[in-house]
Amino acid sequence: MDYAIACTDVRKSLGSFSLHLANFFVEKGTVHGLIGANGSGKTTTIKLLLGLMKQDEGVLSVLSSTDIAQDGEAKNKIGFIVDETSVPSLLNPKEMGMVFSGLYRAWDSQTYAQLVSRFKLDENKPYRSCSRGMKVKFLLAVALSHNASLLILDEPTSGLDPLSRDEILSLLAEYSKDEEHTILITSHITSDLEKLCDYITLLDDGKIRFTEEKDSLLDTYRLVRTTHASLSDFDPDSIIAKREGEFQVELLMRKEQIPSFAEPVRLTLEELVILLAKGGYKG
Amino acid sequence: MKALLLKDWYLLRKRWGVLFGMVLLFSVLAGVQTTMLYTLMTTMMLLMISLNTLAYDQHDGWDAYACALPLSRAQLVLSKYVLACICIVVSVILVLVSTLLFGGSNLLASASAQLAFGFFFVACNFPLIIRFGFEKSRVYYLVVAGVLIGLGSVFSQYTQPSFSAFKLSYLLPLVGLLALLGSLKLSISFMKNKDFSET
Repeated sequence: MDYAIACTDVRKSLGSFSLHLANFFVEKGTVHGLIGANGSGKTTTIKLLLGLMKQDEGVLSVLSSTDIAQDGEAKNKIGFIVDETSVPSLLNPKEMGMVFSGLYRAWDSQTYAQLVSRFKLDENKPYRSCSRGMKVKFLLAVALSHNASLLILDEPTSGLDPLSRDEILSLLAEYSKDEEHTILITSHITSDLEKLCDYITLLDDGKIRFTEEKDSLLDTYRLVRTTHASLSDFDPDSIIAKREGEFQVELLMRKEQIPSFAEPVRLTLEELVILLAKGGYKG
Repeated sequence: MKALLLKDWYLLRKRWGVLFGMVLLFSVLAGVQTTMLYTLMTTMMLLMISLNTLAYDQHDGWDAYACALPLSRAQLVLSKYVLACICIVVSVILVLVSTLLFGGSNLLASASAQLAFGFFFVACNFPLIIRFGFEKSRVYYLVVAGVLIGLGSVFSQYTQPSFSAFKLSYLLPLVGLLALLGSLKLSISFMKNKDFSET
Protein backbone atom coordinates (compact mmCIF):
# COMPACT_ATOMS: atom_id res chain seq x y z
CA MET A 1 0.00 0.00 0.00
CA ASP A 2 1.19 3.51 -0.81
CA TYR A 3 1.26 5.89 2.14
CA ALA A 4 1.46 9.67 2.14
CA ILE A 5 2.26 9.60 5.85
CA ALA A 6 3.81 6.77 7.82
CA CYS A 7 4.77 6.93 11.49
CA THR A 8 6.25 3.95 13.28
CA ASP A 9 6.88 4.08 16.98
CA VAL A 10 7.25 7.88 16.93
CA ARG A 11 7.66 9.40 20.37
CA LYS A 12 7.82 13.01 21.49
CA SER A 13 7.96 14.27 25.05
CA LEU A 14 6.96 17.82 25.95
CA GLY A 15 7.24 18.32 29.68
CA SER A 16 4.72 16.05 31.36
CA PHE A 17 2.98 15.27 28.04
CA SER A 18 4.14 12.42 25.92
CA LEU A 19 3.00 11.52 22.40
CA HIS A 20 3.35 8.00 21.09
CA LEU A 21 2.34 7.24 17.51
CA ALA A 22 2.90 3.49 17.51
CA ASN A 23 1.55 2.93 14.01
CA PHE A 24 -0.02 5.80 12.17
CA PHE A 25 -0.48 5.54 8.43
CA VAL A 26 -2.34 7.76 5.98
CA GLU A 27 -3.03 6.10 2.67
CA LYS A 28 -2.46 8.15 -0.48
CA GLY A 29 -5.63 9.45 -2.09
CA THR A 30 -7.68 9.34 1.11
CA VAL A 31 -9.08 11.86 3.57
CA HIS A 32 -7.95 10.99 7.08
CA GLY A 33 -9.43 12.61 10.17
CA LEU A 34 -7.46 12.93 13.38
CA ILE A 35 -9.70 13.46 16.36
CA GLY A 36 -9.18 13.81 20.06
CA ALA A 37 -9.79 16.08 23.03
CA ASN A 38 -7.79 19.24 23.70
CA GLY A 39 -4.26 18.27 24.66
CA SER A 40 -4.55 14.80 23.14
CA GLY A 41 -1.61 15.46 20.79
CA LYS A 42 -3.24 16.47 17.49
CA THR A 43 -1.29 19.70 16.96
CA THR A 44 1.94 18.05 18.15
CA THR A 45 1.39 15.33 15.55
CA ILE A 46 0.81 17.93 12.83
CA LYS A 47 3.93 19.87 13.85
CA LEU A 48 6.01 16.68 13.74
CA LEU A 49 4.69 15.90 10.27
CA LEU A 50 5.59 19.39 9.03
CA GLY A 51 9.07 19.34 10.55
CA LEU A 52 8.29 22.07 13.08
CA MET A 53 9.32 19.66 15.82
CA LYS A 54 11.66 16.71 15.79
CA GLN A 55 10.63 13.37 17.23
CA ASP A 56 12.66 11.92 20.10
CA GLU A 57 12.38 8.41 18.69
CA GLY A 58 10.88 6.47 15.81
CA VAL A 59 10.57 6.80 12.06
CA LEU A 60 8.35 9.41 10.46
CA SER A 61 7.88 9.63 6.72
CA VAL A 62 5.91 12.27 4.82
CA LEU A 63 5.65 11.87 1.04
CA SER A 64 8.52 9.37 1.32
CA SER A 65 10.74 11.93 3.06
CA THR A 66 12.11 10.88 6.44
CA ASP A 67 13.61 14.33 7.14
CA ILE A 68 10.80 16.66 6.20
CA ALA A 69 12.34 19.67 7.97
CA GLN A 70 15.23 19.67 5.47
CA ASP A 71 13.38 18.38 2.42
CA GLY A 72 12.31 21.34 0.30
CA GLU A 73 11.23 19.03 -2.52
CA ALA A 74 8.66 17.27 -0.33
CA LYS A 75 7.53 20.51 1.31
CA ASN A 76 6.76 21.94 -2.13
CA LYS A 77 3.99 19.33 -2.35
CA ILE A 78 2.42 20.02 1.03
CA GLY A 79 -0.27 22.58 1.76
CA PHE A 80 -0.94 23.24 5.42
CA ILE A 81 -2.76 25.14 8.11
CA VAL A 82 -1.30 24.85 11.59
CA ASP A 83 -2.79 26.30 14.72
CA GLU A 84 -0.68 29.09 16.30
CA THR A 85 1.19 29.85 13.08
CA SER A 86 0.23 32.23 10.33
CA VAL A 87 1.28 34.45 7.47
CA PRO A 88 2.54 37.96 8.35
CA SER A 89 -0.47 39.74 9.79
CA LEU A 90 0.21 43.09 8.15
CA LEU A 91 0.24 41.70 4.63
CA ASN A 92 -2.81 41.49 2.39
CA PRO A 93 -3.74 38.72 -0.09
CA LYS A 94 -2.21 40.64 -2.99
CA GLU A 95 1.16 41.02 -1.25
CA MET A 96 1.09 37.45 0.02
CA GLY A 97 0.52 36.23 -3.53
CA MET A 98 3.69 38.04 -4.60
CA VAL A 99 5.67 36.60 -1.69
CA PHE A 100 4.44 33.01 -2.10
CA SER A 101 5.10 33.04 -5.82
CA GLY A 102 8.77 33.25 -4.87
CA LEU A 103 8.55 30.56 -2.21
CA TYR A 104 6.75 27.69 -3.95
CA ARG A 105 8.22 26.28 -7.13
CA ALA A 106 4.81 25.37 -8.59
CA TRP A 107 2.94 28.46 -7.42
CA ASP A 108 -0.12 29.03 -9.58
CA SER A 109 -1.03 32.73 -9.51
CA GLN A 110 -4.19 32.11 -11.51
CA THR A 111 -5.53 29.50 -9.08
CA TYR A 112 -4.67 31.78 -6.17
CA ALA A 113 -6.48 34.72 -7.77
CA GLN A 114 -9.51 32.48 -8.43
CA LEU A 115 -9.60 31.28 -4.82
CA VAL A 116 -9.20 34.81 -3.44
CA SER A 117 -12.11 35.85 -5.63
CA ARG A 118 -14.20 32.73 -4.78
CA PHE A 119 -13.70 33.35 -1.05
CA LYS A 120 -14.53 37.04 -1.54
CA LEU A 121 -11.29 38.09 0.15
CA ASP A 122 -10.47 41.78 -0.09
CA GLU A 123 -7.15 41.91 -1.94
CA ASN A 124 -6.05 44.98 -0.01
CA LYS A 125 -7.22 44.03 3.46
CA PRO A 126 -4.40 42.95 5.81
CA TYR A 127 -4.63 39.45 7.22
CA ARG A 128 -4.95 40.73 10.79
CA SER A 129 -8.07 42.74 9.94
CA CYS A 130 -9.84 39.65 8.59
CA SER A 131 -12.39 37.63 10.54
CA ARG A 132 -11.50 34.10 11.68
CA GLY A 133 -13.37 32.66 8.71
CA MET A 134 -11.58 34.93 6.26
CA LYS A 135 -8.22 34.06 7.79
CA VAL A 136 -8.84 30.34 7.31
CA LYS A 137 -9.92 30.96 3.71
CA PHE A 138 -6.81 33.05 3.16
CA LEU A 139 -4.56 30.23 4.47
CA LEU A 140 -6.51 27.66 2.50
CA ALA A 141 -6.10 29.69 -0.69
CA VAL A 142 -2.33 29.60 -0.12
CA ALA A 143 -2.40 25.86 0.66
CA LEU A 144 -4.30 25.09 -2.53
CA SER A 145 -2.37 27.29 -4.96
CA HIS A 146 0.87 25.37 -5.42
CA ASN A 147 -0.35 22.04 -6.72
CA ALA A 148 0.01 20.29 -3.35
CA SER A 149 -0.60 16.56 -3.27
CA LEU A 150 -0.94 16.48 0.52
CA LEU A 151 -2.96 18.84 2.69
CA ILE A 152 -2.25 18.86 6.43
CA LEU A 153 -4.92 20.91 8.15
CA ASP A 154 -5.12 21.61 11.85
CA GLU A 155 -8.61 22.63 12.95
CA PRO A 156 -9.48 24.49 9.75
CA THR A 157 -13.17 24.69 10.58
CA SER A 158 -13.06 25.56 14.28
CA GLY A 159 -14.59 28.88 15.19
CA LEU A 160 -16.33 29.23 11.83
CA ASP A 161 -20.01 29.79 11.16
CA PRO A 162 -21.91 26.90 9.49
CA LEU A 163 -21.90 28.61 6.08
CA SER A 164 -18.14 29.14 6.04
CA ARG A 165 -17.59 25.59 7.32
CA ASP A 166 -19.73 24.21 4.55
CA GLU A 167 -17.89 26.29 1.96
CA ILE A 168 -14.53 25.01 3.18
CA LEU A 169 -15.71 21.40 3.39
CA SER A 170 -17.05 21.61 -0.17
CA LEU A 171 -13.71 22.89 -1.39
CA LEU A 172 -11.85 20.10 0.42
CA ALA A 173 -14.27 17.51 -0.96
CA GLU A 174 -13.57 18.89 -4.43
CA TYR A 175 -9.83 18.66 -3.83
CA SER A 176 -10.07 15.09 -2.54
CA LYS A 177 -11.77 13.87 -5.72
CA ASP A 178 -8.36 13.65 -7.37
CA GLU A 179 -6.92 10.24 -6.47
CA GLU A 180 -3.46 11.72 -6.12
CA HIS A 181 -4.62 14.09 -3.40
CA THR A 182 -4.45 13.22 0.28
CA ILE A 183 -5.83 15.16 3.24
CA LEU A 184 -5.00 14.82 6.91
CA ILE A 185 -7.38 16.95 8.93
CA THR A 186 -7.90 17.48 12.65
CA SER A 187 -11.11 18.86 14.04
CA HIS A 188 -13.20 19.03 17.17
CA ILE A 189 -16.26 19.16 14.96
CA THR A 190 -16.76 15.48 14.25
CA SER A 191 -19.77 16.14 12.04
CA ASP A 192 -17.37 17.85 9.61
CA LEU A 193 -15.13 14.81 9.61
CA GLU A 194 -18.12 12.51 9.16
CA LYS A 195 -18.94 14.32 5.93
CA LEU A 196 -15.42 14.37 4.59
CA CYS A 197 -13.25 11.53 5.87
CA ASP A 198 -12.52 8.01 4.67
CA TYR A 199 -10.53 7.09 7.78
CA ILE A 200 -10.64 8.20 11.39
CA THR A 201 -7.88 8.04 14.00
CA LEU A 202 -8.68 8.74 17.63
CA LEU A 203 -5.89 10.19 19.74
CA ASP A 204 -6.32 10.05 23.47
CA ASP A 205 -3.77 11.40 25.93
CA GLY A 206 -1.00 11.18 23.34
CA LYS A 207 -1.77 7.64 22.21
CA ILE A 208 -3.62 6.26 19.22
CA ARG A 209 -6.76 4.50 20.41
CA PHE A 210 -7.77 3.35 16.95
CA THR A 211 -7.58 3.94 13.23
CA GLU A 212 -10.64 2.73 11.36
CA GLU A 213 -12.41 3.18 8.08
CA LYS A 214 -15.21 5.64 8.84
CA ASP A 215 -18.00 3.69 7.14
CA SER A 216 -16.95 0.45 8.76
CA LEU A 217 -16.75 2.20 12.11
CA LEU A 218 -20.27 3.57 11.78
CA ASP A 219 -21.53 0.23 10.53
CA THR A 220 -19.92 -1.91 13.23
CA TYR A 221 -21.33 -0.23 16.32
CA ARG A 222 -24.84 0.46 17.55
CA LEU A 223 -26.37 2.13 20.55
CA VAL A 224 -28.84 0.17 22.67
CA ARG A 225 -31.06 1.86 25.24
CA THR A 226 -32.31 -0.14 28.16
CA THR A 227 -33.39 0.26 31.77
CA HIS A 228 -31.28 -0.30 34.84
CA ALA A 229 -33.43 -3.34 35.70
CA SER A 230 -32.88 -4.98 32.27
CA LEU A 231 -29.13 -4.43 32.23
CA SER A 232 -28.51 -7.92 33.61
CA ASP A 233 -30.09 -9.40 30.43
CA PHE A 234 -27.03 -8.31 28.45
CA ASP A 235 -23.76 -10.20 28.31
CA PRO A 236 -21.31 -7.86 30.12
CA ASP A 237 -18.51 -8.89 27.74
CA SER A 238 -20.45 -7.60 24.75
CA ILE A 239 -20.87 -4.11 26.23
CA ILE A 240 -18.11 -1.86 24.93
CA ALA A 241 -19.16 1.30 26.73
CA LYS A 242 -21.97 2.27 29.04
CA ARG A 243 -23.54 5.65 29.75
CA GLU A 244 -25.89 5.67 32.72
CA GLY A 245 -28.69 8.20 33.03
CA GLU A 246 -31.37 8.61 35.69
CA PHE A 247 -33.98 6.51 33.91
CA GLN A 248 -32.08 4.58 31.26
CA VAL A 249 -28.72 3.16 30.36
CA GLU A 250 -27.10 3.57 26.93
CA LEU A 251 -24.91 0.71 25.78
CA LEU A 252 -22.42 0.72 22.96
CA MET A 253 -22.27 -2.72 21.34
CA ARG A 254 -21.05 -4.40 18.20
CA LYS A 255 -23.98 -4.89 15.83
CA GLU A 256 -23.69 -8.67 15.74
CA GLN A 257 -23.60 -8.98 19.52
CA ILE A 258 -26.88 -7.20 20.15
CA PRO A 259 -29.56 -9.57 21.54
CA SER A 260 -32.70 -9.91 19.46
CA PHE A 261 -34.92 -8.31 22.14
CA ALA A 262 -32.93 -5.04 22.02
CA GLU A 263 -33.48 -2.23 19.54
CA PRO A 264 -30.24 -0.94 18.01
CA VAL A 265 -29.82 2.70 17.02
CA ARG A 266 -27.27 3.98 14.52
CA LEU A 267 -24.82 6.47 16.01
CA THR A 268 -23.28 9.63 14.69
CA LEU A 269 -19.50 9.75 14.56
CA GLU A 270 -19.48 12.15 17.48
CA GLU A 271 -21.56 9.88 19.74
CA LEU A 272 -19.51 6.90 18.70
CA VAL A 273 -16.17 8.57 19.36
CA ILE A 274 -17.26 9.80 22.79
CA LEU A 275 -18.47 6.35 23.79
CA LEU A 276 -15.43 4.58 22.38
CA ALA A 277 -13.12 6.98 24.14
CA LYS A 278 -14.99 6.43 27.41
CA GLY A 279 -15.33 2.70 27.15
CA GLY A 280 -12.00 1.74 25.72
CA TYR A 281 -11.61 0.46 22.19
CA LYS A 282 -11.39 -3.29 21.85
CA GLY A 283 -10.65 -3.53 18.16
CA MET B 1 15.58 34.50 -0.26
CA LYS B 2 14.29 37.31 -2.51
CA ALA B 3 10.73 36.44 -1.51
CA LEU B 4 11.62 36.69 2.18
CA LEU B 5 13.22 40.09 1.66
CA LEU B 6 10.15 41.16 -0.31
CA LYS B 7 7.98 40.10 2.64
CA ASP B 8 10.12 42.20 5.00
CA TRP B 9 9.99 45.14 2.58
CA TYR B 10 6.16 45.00 2.61
CA LEU B 11 6.23 44.92 6.43
CA LEU B 12 8.65 47.80 6.73
CA ARG B 13 6.80 49.93 4.21
CA LYS B 14 3.75 49.79 6.47
CA ARG B 15 5.45 50.29 9.80
CA TRP B 16 8.58 52.35 9.38
CA GLY B 17 7.05 55.86 9.36
CA VAL B 18 8.15 57.12 12.79
CA LEU B 19 11.37 55.11 12.93
CA PHE B 20 12.46 56.26 9.50
CA GLY B 21 11.74 59.87 10.48
CA MET B 22 14.10 59.41 13.43
CA VAL B 23 16.70 57.83 11.17
CA LEU B 24 16.63 60.93 8.94
CA LEU B 25 16.85 63.24 11.96
CA PHE B 26 19.85 61.40 13.39
CA SER B 27 21.60 61.28 10.03
CA VAL B 28 21.19 65.08 9.64
CA LEU B 29 22.50 65.62 13.19
CA ALA B 30 25.40 63.26 12.40
CA GLY B 31 26.34 65.52 9.47
CA VAL B 32 26.06 68.70 11.51
CA GLN B 33 27.72 67.55 14.74
CA THR B 34 31.23 66.18 15.09
CA THR B 35 30.34 63.62 17.76
CA MET B 36 29.97 59.97 16.84
CA LEU B 37 26.80 59.56 18.93
CA TYR B 38 24.31 60.58 16.20
CA THR B 39 26.24 58.66 13.57
CA LEU B 40 25.87 55.47 15.57
CA MET B 41 22.27 56.28 16.49
CA THR B 42 21.46 56.41 12.76
CA THR B 43 22.77 52.87 12.37
CA MET B 44 21.06 51.79 15.58
CA MET B 45 17.66 53.11 14.45
CA LEU B 46 17.93 51.37 11.08
CA LEU B 47 18.91 48.14 12.80
CA MET B 48 15.86 48.54 15.06
CA ILE B 49 13.80 48.43 11.88
CA SER B 50 15.35 45.11 10.91
CA LEU B 51 14.91 43.83 14.48
CA ASN B 52 11.25 44.78 14.26
CA THR B 53 10.75 42.39 11.36
CA LEU B 54 12.01 39.58 13.61
CA ALA B 55 9.60 40.69 16.32
CA TYR B 56 6.67 40.74 13.87
CA ASP B 57 7.60 37.30 12.55
CA GLN B 58 7.67 35.79 16.01
CA HIS B 59 4.52 37.59 17.12
CA ASP B 60 2.55 36.43 14.07
CA GLY B 61 3.87 32.87 14.18
CA TRP B 62 5.43 33.40 10.76
CA ASP B 63 8.80 32.02 11.93
CA ALA B 64 7.10 28.66 12.57
CA TYR B 65 4.93 28.89 9.44
CA ALA B 66 7.98 29.66 7.28
CA CYS B 67 9.78 26.57 8.60
CA ALA B 68 7.07 24.43 7.00
CA LEU B 69 7.58 26.15 3.64
CA PRO B 70 10.01 24.78 1.04
CA LEU B 71 12.90 26.77 2.48
CA SER B 72 15.81 25.69 4.58
CA ARG B 73 16.04 27.13 8.07
CA ALA B 74 19.47 28.45 7.12
CA GLN B 75 17.84 30.52 4.33
CA LEU B 76 15.39 32.02 6.83
CA VAL B 77 18.22 33.10 9.12
CA LEU B 78 20.41 34.30 6.27
CA SER B 79 17.64 36.56 4.94
CA LYS B 80 17.53 38.35 8.33
CA TYR B 81 21.30 38.87 8.31
CA VAL B 82 21.14 40.17 4.73
CA LEU B 83 18.39 42.62 5.72
CA ALA B 84 20.45 43.81 8.69
CA CYS B 85 23.50 44.32 6.44
CA ILE B 86 21.37 46.32 4.00
CA CYS B 87 20.24 48.51 6.92
CA ILE B 88 23.85 49.07 8.01
CA VAL B 89 24.93 50.02 4.49
CA VAL B 90 21.94 52.39 4.10
CA SER B 91 22.88 54.05 7.41
CA VAL B 92 26.46 54.54 6.19
CA ILE B 93 25.19 56.11 2.95
CA LEU B 94 22.78 58.41 4.81
CA VAL B 95 25.49 59.70 7.15
CA LEU B 96 27.91 60.02 4.25
CA VAL B 97 25.44 62.15 2.27
CA SER B 98 24.58 64.23 5.33
CA THR B 99 28.26 64.77 6.18
CA LEU B 100 28.98 65.91 2.63
CA LEU B 101 25.93 68.21 2.61
CA PHE B 102 26.66 69.83 5.95
CA GLY B 103 30.42 70.02 5.56
CA GLY B 104 31.38 67.54 8.27
CA SER B 105 34.61 65.62 8.35
CA ASN B 106 35.98 62.18 9.24
CA LEU B 107 33.97 60.36 6.61
CA LEU B 108 36.07 57.26 6.85
CA ALA B 109 36.03 57.17 10.64
CA SER B 110 32.22 57.49 10.67
CA ALA B 111 31.74 54.74 8.13
CA SER B 112 34.19 52.52 9.94
CA ALA B 113 32.46 53.07 13.28
CA GLN B 114 29.01 52.46 11.77
CA LEU B 115 30.08 49.23 10.13
CA ALA B 116 31.79 47.99 13.27
CA PHE B 117 28.86 48.97 15.49
CA GLY B 118 26.32 47.43 13.13
CA PHE B 119 28.20 44.17 12.71
CA PHE B 120 28.80 43.75 16.44
CA PHE B 121 25.22 44.71 17.29
CA VAL B 122 23.82 42.10 14.92
CA ALA B 123 26.45 39.51 15.87
CA CYS B 124 25.58 39.82 19.57
CA ASN B 125 21.80 40.13 19.34
CA PHE B 126 20.52 37.96 16.52
CA PRO B 127 21.54 34.59 17.99
CA LEU B 128 19.88 35.58 21.28
CA ILE B 129 16.67 36.65 19.56
CA ILE B 130 16.56 33.49 17.45
CA ARG B 131 17.31 31.27 20.45
CA PHE B 132 15.15 32.92 23.14
CA GLY B 133 12.67 35.03 21.17
CA PHE B 134 12.40 38.79 20.76
CA GLU B 135 10.57 39.45 24.05
CA LYS B 136 12.99 37.55 26.27
CA SER B 137 16.03 39.07 24.54
CA ARG B 138 14.83 42.66 24.85
CA VAL B 139 17.01 43.42 27.87
CA TYR B 140 20.10 41.97 26.18
CA TYR B 141 19.89 44.03 23.00
CA LEU B 142 19.45 47.25 24.92
CA VAL B 143 22.53 46.39 27.00
CA VAL B 144 24.50 45.50 23.85
CA ALA B 145 23.43 48.74 22.14
CA GLY B 146 24.38 50.82 25.23
CA VAL B 147 27.82 49.23 25.51
CA LEU B 148 28.56 49.57 21.79
CA ILE B 149 27.40 53.19 21.58
CA GLY B 150 29.45 53.96 24.72
CA LEU B 151 32.54 52.43 23.14
CA GLY B 152 31.86 54.32 19.92
CA SER B 153 31.68 57.61 21.81
CA VAL B 154 34.98 56.83 23.53
CA PHE B 155 36.56 56.16 20.14
CA SER B 156 35.13 59.42 18.80
CA GLN B 157 37.42 61.29 21.23
CA TYR B 158 40.40 60.03 19.29
CA THR B 159 39.90 62.20 16.28
CA GLN B 160 43.60 62.73 15.65
CA PRO B 161 45.09 60.22 13.21
CA SER B 162 48.24 60.06 15.32
CA PHE B 163 46.45 58.01 17.96
CA SER B 164 47.03 54.32 17.50
CA ALA B 165 43.50 53.63 18.81
CA PHE B 166 42.13 55.71 15.95
CA LYS B 167 44.07 53.63 13.45
CA LEU B 168 42.97 50.47 15.20
CA SER B 169 39.36 51.51 14.79
CA TYR B 170 39.66 50.91 11.04
CA LEU B 171 40.28 47.26 11.77
CA LEU B 172 37.13 46.97 13.84
CA PRO B 173 34.71 46.55 10.89
CA LEU B 174 36.78 43.59 9.76
CA VAL B 175 36.69 42.07 13.23
CA GLY B 176 32.96 42.84 13.35
CA LEU B 177 32.45 41.09 10.04
CA LEU B 178 34.20 37.99 11.35
CA ALA B 179 32.03 38.12 14.46
CA LEU B 180 28.99 38.46 12.19
CA LEU B 181 29.93 35.33 10.26
CA GLY B 182 30.42 33.41 13.50
CA SER B 183 27.10 34.74 14.75
CA LEU B 184 25.37 33.65 11.52
CA LYS B 185 26.68 30.12 11.99
CA LEU B 186 25.48 30.11 15.60
CA SER B 187 22.04 31.47 14.65
CA ILE B 188 21.63 28.84 11.93
CA SER B 189 22.51 26.14 14.43
CA PHE B 190 19.95 27.54 16.93
CA MET B 191 17.31 27.71 14.21
CA LYS B 192 17.99 24.18 12.97
CA ASN B 193 17.53 22.79 16.47
CA LYS B 194 14.48 24.90 17.27
CA ASP B 195 11.32 23.02 18.21
CA PHE B 196 8.15 25.00 17.67
CA SER B 197 6.33 23.37 20.54
CA GLU B 198 4.94 26.77 21.49
CA THR B 199 4.67 29.48 18.89
